[in-house]
Amino acid sequence: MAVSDHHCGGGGRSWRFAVACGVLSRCVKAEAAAAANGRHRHHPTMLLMPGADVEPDVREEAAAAAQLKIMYGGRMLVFDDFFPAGGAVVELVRAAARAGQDVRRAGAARRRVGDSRGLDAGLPVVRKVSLQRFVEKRRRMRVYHILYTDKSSHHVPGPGRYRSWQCRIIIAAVAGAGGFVVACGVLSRCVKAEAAAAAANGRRHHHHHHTTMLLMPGADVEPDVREEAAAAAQLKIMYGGRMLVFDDFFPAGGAVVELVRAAARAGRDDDGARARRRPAGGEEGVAAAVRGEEKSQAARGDGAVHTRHSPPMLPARTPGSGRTDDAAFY
Amino acid sequence: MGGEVPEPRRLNRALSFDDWVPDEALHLVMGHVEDPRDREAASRVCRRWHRIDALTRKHVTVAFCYAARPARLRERFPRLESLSLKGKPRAAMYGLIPDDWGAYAAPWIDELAAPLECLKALHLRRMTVTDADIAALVRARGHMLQELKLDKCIGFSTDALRLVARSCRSLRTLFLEECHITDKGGEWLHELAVNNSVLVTLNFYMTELKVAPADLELLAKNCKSLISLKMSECDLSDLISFFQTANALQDFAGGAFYEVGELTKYEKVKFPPRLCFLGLTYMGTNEMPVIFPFSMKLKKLDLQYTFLTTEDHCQIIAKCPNLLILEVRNVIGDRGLEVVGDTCKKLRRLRIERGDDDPGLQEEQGGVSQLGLTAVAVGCRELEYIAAYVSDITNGALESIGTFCKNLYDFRLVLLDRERQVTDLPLDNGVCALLRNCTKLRRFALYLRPGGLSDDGLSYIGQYSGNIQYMLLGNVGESDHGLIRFAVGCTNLQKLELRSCCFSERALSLAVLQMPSLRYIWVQGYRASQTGLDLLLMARPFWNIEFTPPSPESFNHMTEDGEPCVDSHAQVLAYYSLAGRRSDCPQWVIPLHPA
Repeated sequence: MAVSDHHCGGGGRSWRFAVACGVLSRCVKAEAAAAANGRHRHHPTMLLMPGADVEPDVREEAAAAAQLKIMYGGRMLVFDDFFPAGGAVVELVRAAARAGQDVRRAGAARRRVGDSRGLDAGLPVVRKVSLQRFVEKRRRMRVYHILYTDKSSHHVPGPGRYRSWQCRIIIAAVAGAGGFVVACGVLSRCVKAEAAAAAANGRRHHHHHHTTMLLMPGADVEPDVREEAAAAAQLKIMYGGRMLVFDDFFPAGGAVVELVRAAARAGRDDDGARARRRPAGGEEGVAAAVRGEEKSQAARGDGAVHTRHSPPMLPARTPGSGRTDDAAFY
Repeated sequence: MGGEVPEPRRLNRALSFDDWVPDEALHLVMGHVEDPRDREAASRVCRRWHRIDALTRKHVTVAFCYAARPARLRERFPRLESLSLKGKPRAAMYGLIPDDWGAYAAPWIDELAAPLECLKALHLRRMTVTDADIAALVRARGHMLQELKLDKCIGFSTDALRLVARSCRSLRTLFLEECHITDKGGEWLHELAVNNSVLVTLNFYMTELKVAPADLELLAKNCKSLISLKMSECDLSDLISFFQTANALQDFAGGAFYEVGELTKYEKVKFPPRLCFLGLTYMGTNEMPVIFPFSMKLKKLDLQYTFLTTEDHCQIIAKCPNLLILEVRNVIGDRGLEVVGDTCKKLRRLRIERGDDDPGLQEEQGGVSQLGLTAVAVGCRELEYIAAYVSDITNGALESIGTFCKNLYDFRLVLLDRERQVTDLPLDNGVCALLRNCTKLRRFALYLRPGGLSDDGLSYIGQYSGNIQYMLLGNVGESDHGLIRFAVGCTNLQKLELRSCCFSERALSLAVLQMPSLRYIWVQGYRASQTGLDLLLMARPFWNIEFTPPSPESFNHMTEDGEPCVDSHAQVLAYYSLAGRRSDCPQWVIPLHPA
């Protein structure tokens, strides 16, 4: 347990002994008749693999554009590699893509910089595996705390509680935790819990604001309630560099739940589960709603970045649809 | 050992006298020579000394498992008591070497376990070890095995651990840190607790193993001499009775604070009285007070896997004046390091690892620069080991380290690539000053960015690194000429790792031929030619060259960060070997040899 176990002090001390042995050894060898010799032949004729020149990965950019983001209630979900491959979600994201506003993807930009750096300016510094695991786990743990701190009362922090950096943690965690289905499950639970909390809030006012855990002390800023409440009620869908924003989108009627369920089903399509039934209802409903949405925007001709809907724009869930899929979420 | 180097004439007399010294006497004398370098030198004197050294050698480290054949080891050292074997290149710890690269323990265990009748300690590092290998070891040596260290190894399961626990009743050390182990349940720990009463060290830190706190308590009850426990994650509030039982415990790491912000839950945790080495996983600001009561006693503090902020680091370190070892992430910041310099006057080892560099995470505002390093150098004069990931650096800071840290034995510096501006590059003069002044330095790592060190700086490293045996260099030098000038000076360098440098294959080969003591070189990121032909310029007898082309699949790989994997560049590994070419190369590794 002594600290000396952890380092082996420098030489010097025994260096002379080794040198003495070396001299002795030479004496011995000099006495003996020297013989033998290795052969030295070089025949460098073999062709090797072509060099280490690396071509830039063009798929990178496409991948960035293929990201689907859904933001609601101060939370954001990001689905990487979300390539449209048929079904409702495709419709949904296409609509989002057409809807207008260009969103600069800072992340993509950064990643490109990283790439070019990797080629022109040396390989990136890598992190030790154990620390990499820690960093990832740490983010996941944060999410765990954000989402499930007080399981007994199903109390989830109110909308607007978390700022963008926290959302980023959620994304990272969700992406890390294994993909689309999980992500949708998380969002679904969020929304449900939030609805429950909102309902409870009507009855018990005091319960709403105080979350049970301290996340990052010092980083917790008292939120601007009005602004955040408005922001929280917005549903944003980003895809292909464009953003669709729905104001005042309260999760009445479980519409968002339906949305993500539909998305989850479609996502599994994309994941390559080929032979599967396609339940009627949800997905087509979503698609129809989005198409309708698009028309109304076009009709107003206002650039269609913002669209207001007093009633929820998505149809309530068809009885029975999605029920059987629940298990897959958890 | 020591004394004057004798003149050859006197040595001749010594040699003739040598004939008179009976073997038994030489045996006895040799038994007192422990330093492996002394042993090596003695063994080269003459056949008789060689033979007696071989018979009396108790410990051998094989620095690279493909450098020798197990059968040769067995023949030469039949009475070996302890064996250390190292496998994959260090890059494996950074995810740069795939799991199926090789470094299998099987040939060694099959060949050695039964015949080496005195073997009681085995240490395998970065190797692939299967359940069958461990079973074979236990069958042959289980009754007398005292130490089993599997360090960053992969390929086995808790079934093997169960067998070890059941059969190796004299086991004092079981070490599994950072191993990738298939978890088939926590029974292994229960078996260990039931069957063993002499365990001193148990380490399964940074593994994913799940164990029952009750088994740990039982272990503490049965093994009164348990001094060190480093474990996987397990809520600290479940370890209260373990800590009450483990009275001899001096070293604890792992556990976890799962309830963030719940100090009340952890207030009841009382650590054993002699505890002085500590690392608590996921400790946050609110839980930090659990260590305040005995912080004065702490000699080692590992904060690498905590949630502490820069401010927390300042607070906690200010209460630990007796630290010898401190391990942190760069969240400690310059402010934290200033506290270290002011407080920890006895510090010997300082490791500052790289944390999360996403600027969005607000508690990670730290980052270490010349300010922090200088503060530490000035304040902690006993430092022997510094490893730091810095965001900024200057020549002056390196000079300060050279001026004040005269005992430095191992220095490693990585300049992170996130910050756009670095105050003072190139670091030629700073590096030169550090190397000239720290004459005890044996290991040296410098990973900069292009432009970080000129050819002149590189030649200084060669010139002033006469005693250095291991070196890692990244993004240094400007041209092939710099590498050659470097190599000419490296007379004692045995192991060299180069990453992300601008050198051509030809220069690499010529450099290798210039370094007389070099026995191992690993390179990733160099100016590769279309044919790789020039690598063969370094070919010579007993010198194995293995080339790993960039793998096309790795382009699609993303880490969970969303960053592209970086193992997409060719690697070259070359080493001396008495074992000939390795026979277990994966398909994607190409052994190079002259036709």
